[in-house]
Amino acid sequence: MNWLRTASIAAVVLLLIPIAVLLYYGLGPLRSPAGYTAAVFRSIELSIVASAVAALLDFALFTPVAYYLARGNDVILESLIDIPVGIPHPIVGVALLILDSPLTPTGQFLLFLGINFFNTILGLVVALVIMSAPIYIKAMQPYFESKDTSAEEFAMGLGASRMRTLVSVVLPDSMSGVVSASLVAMSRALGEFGSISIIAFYVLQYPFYGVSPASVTIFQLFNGAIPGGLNAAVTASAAMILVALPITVVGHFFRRRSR
Amino acid sequence: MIEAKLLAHAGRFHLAAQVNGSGVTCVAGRNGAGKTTLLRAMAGFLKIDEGHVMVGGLDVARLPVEKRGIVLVTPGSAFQHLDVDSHLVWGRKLVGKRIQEDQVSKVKSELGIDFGGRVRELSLGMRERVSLATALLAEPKAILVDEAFASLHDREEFIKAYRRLLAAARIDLVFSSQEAADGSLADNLYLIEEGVTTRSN
Repeated sequence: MNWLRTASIAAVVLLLIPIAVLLYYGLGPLRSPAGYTAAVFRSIELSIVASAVAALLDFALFTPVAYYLARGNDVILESLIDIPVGIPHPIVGVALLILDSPLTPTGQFLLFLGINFFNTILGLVVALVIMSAPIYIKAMQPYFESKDTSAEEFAMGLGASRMRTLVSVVLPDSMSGVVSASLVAMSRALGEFGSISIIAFYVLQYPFYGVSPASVTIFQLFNGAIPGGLNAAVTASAAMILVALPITVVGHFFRRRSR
Repeated sequence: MIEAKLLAHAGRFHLAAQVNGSGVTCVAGRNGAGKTTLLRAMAGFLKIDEGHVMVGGLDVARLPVEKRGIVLVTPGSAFQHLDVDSHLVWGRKLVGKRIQEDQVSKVKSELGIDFGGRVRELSLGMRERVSLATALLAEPKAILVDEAFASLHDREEFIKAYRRLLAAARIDLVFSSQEAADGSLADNLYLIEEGVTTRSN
């Protein structure tokens, strides 16, 4: 008897029971057509698009950060990254609201530049970047740390700067790690609720005019936005899980391959 | 001309080394004697506590790695994602030197690079050839080779050919070895033991 294996499987089953039950009821006994209307799929679509854009921004802006942290010894910067993760998510929504409120100087300035977070796709994406970037960095940094540095050192000796080395030597050889970390960040963004329920409850912009992110839509259905809303919320949740699951699975596949 | 006199430490290991020489210098010592530490300190990957590293009449000990003109080649140096031909000119391109096809093909034939394709798919010895040729073609002031001759089937012949090419391009070479006998392949031989170098002739 392999007790480690048995204990591991039991613990993971505990983790998955609620989700399995939800899938069963959402697609079975409690199935409600109001849970898979065009509007529900529209909001899942918004969540996927916004999360994918957030993951791309995570890649572009935070890959250098992860590399810098992996090669340097910058404890202060490293702990600063944990701040957005460590505070309750709605607070990030409130913070963005204040940052871009017409009542504050920063907000007046941003609005003067035409930058508006409240109920816009931009606001949604910014919130998702803040909530997913730390996850991206935490996935990418150990990947870089475990990489052999001989080729990088060779490139630097030949005269390449750190940034140049990252772009032309490290990244082309790190694609499996990048894809895996981006997908992990994207699933984190898909699951976000707290911050976006404040800064972008729905977006008022083409092509998603009047559409709420999926997590917000499910919450609305749950709160009885329509009669029989609870059943609809359960079905919509099951639909959301079915969409999000492949992203996690593909991310895991790439993580395996990158080892 | 390369001249290094330095004190450095890595954890509890202390290095007190002195290496002078133009042309080819061999640093020989047992495992753990400090060969790699010395080469890494000269290349700038290990901060030195005291001393200087002169190449081409300039003290580079306070410069960042990429400004030193010193290339460290190890068995893992090769860029996996490139093909052989773009790898060979990578360093030269980076520093903006003109690429002469006849020079590249001369280096390839002298160093036994009669293969192509993706570096990822090459054997260790083939990758070492490619890295050493890439370093040579970039024409830095000095090349430091840490164990990167080890997997070559024609080791002695290779080092002799590499020497000729380096001399023509006026590049200094320092290489590490487990065997003091390799001093016969070099102009200067240093023995290193517990981080301390002694000159030997």
